[in-house]
Amino acid sequence: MMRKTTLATAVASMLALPVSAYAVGPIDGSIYGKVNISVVNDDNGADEQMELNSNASRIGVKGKAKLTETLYVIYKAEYESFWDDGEKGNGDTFSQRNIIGGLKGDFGTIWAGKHDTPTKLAQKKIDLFNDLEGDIKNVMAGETRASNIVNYTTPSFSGFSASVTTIFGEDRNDNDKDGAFDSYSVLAQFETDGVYLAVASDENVMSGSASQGMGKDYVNVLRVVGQIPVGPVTLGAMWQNAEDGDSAVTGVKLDEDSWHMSAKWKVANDYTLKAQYTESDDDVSGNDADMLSFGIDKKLGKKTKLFTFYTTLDQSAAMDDSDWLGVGLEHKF
Amino acid sequence: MNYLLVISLLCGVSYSSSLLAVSAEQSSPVAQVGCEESVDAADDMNFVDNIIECHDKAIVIYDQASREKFLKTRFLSSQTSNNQQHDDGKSISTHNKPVHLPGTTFIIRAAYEIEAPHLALASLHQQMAVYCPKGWALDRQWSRPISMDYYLHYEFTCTDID
Repeated sequence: MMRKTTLATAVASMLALPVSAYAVGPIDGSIYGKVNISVVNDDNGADEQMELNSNASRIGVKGKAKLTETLYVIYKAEYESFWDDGEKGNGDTFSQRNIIGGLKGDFGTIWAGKHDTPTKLAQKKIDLFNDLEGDIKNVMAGETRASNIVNYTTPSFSGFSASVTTIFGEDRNDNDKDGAFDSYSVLAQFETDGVYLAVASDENVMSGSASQGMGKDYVNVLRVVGQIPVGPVTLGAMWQNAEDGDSAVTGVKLDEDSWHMSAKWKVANDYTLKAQYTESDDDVSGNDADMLSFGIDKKLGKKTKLFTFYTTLDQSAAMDDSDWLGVGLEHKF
Repeated sequence: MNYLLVISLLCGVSYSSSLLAVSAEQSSPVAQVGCEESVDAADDMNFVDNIIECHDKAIVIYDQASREKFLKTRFLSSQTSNNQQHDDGKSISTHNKPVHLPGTTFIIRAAYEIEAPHLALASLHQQMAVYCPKGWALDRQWSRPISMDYYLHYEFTCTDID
């Protein structure tokens, strides 16, 4: 109880920051977030149940202050909130998501904190069922939010940019977890007129591959992503290889090839049709998984939509297929 | 394997960057940013550009990107208005008339000398009359030094009252 109160007070203080910041003038900040709730029929093959899910609903604060004509200090603090049962499994009212502070200037951007790795963010918006049951994290590795990371991103040159992130293991007793670059993530990306290309890699980064029956462990990831608009349709694709990293627990082996394709079609009357397919195969264990999702979004307003979806997941490591059928509401603020 | 990949990635981007750096420096020190919803932008590797370039509330008139984005939107509004009037058989041009957008917030500024701050007021009020022709509410004001003089900033919102 004490912990909850303390956290709530801390968050409330942070949320009050932009208000007081406005009062002094040139400092800038704002609150943002989204509520995404869905009613889902969850069928694991053996049994089924009805669920209300919160789907990573969140609230965040972000802002900047201009230090000189070319230098800004920036911050972002984002928390997941649980709109279904009010708390995370461990009792926390809020769960930390991406939280960073840093500087941006002509040299690029440097920030540090806890954040999604560049490899995770390389997926951009090609996961059309992100945070739902069809999230690609259920089939492939590399969807990592890392603690103790320091990132440098180059300025954007006509759509080109690159990021290098190091992740400190903070374990002085392990030579693979105490150095400056024992774990790192890098990304090179290009974007123009809706066309997006990215190549990213994680080296010895704590991640996981749920579909291979592997818990969180250190992996190396190579990821290639592309997205292109074709009229009202947006097509996305991703290929990835994940292997066990230097710090993986002895005996843990992984050689997972994954690929993903998605298509989004904006049709009339603010409707959007969505479909995606994701597959992974581990050459070491022989396990494989494939996931197929369909969905329809109906835009109700600039920041609000209704959605419905169907997802089916087939894992060789599981006895039965899993299926989810859901309807939900999303509002961004 | 990944050391080679890292080096390749950085070399590739650096080479591309060096080819493009000259034109980029000549055009703008910051990237062209699409101001999508903050919650979406937060899940992008270039989320910092959204923090720097996109203001959820106020249109900063003296910031070129913010001003151009607003003027483009306002121009489209005027065009729509014109087209509807043409369909009705009337041909009244509203393109050059100031458009009052209730609830829209702007930030403007004017330079002044510390001995004569009133000199900034005329300029500020003229600007407010342009962006909110049906009236405004002054939200806040602040000053900032620029070499020997100061900028007086006004943040104001177009009134909802006709």
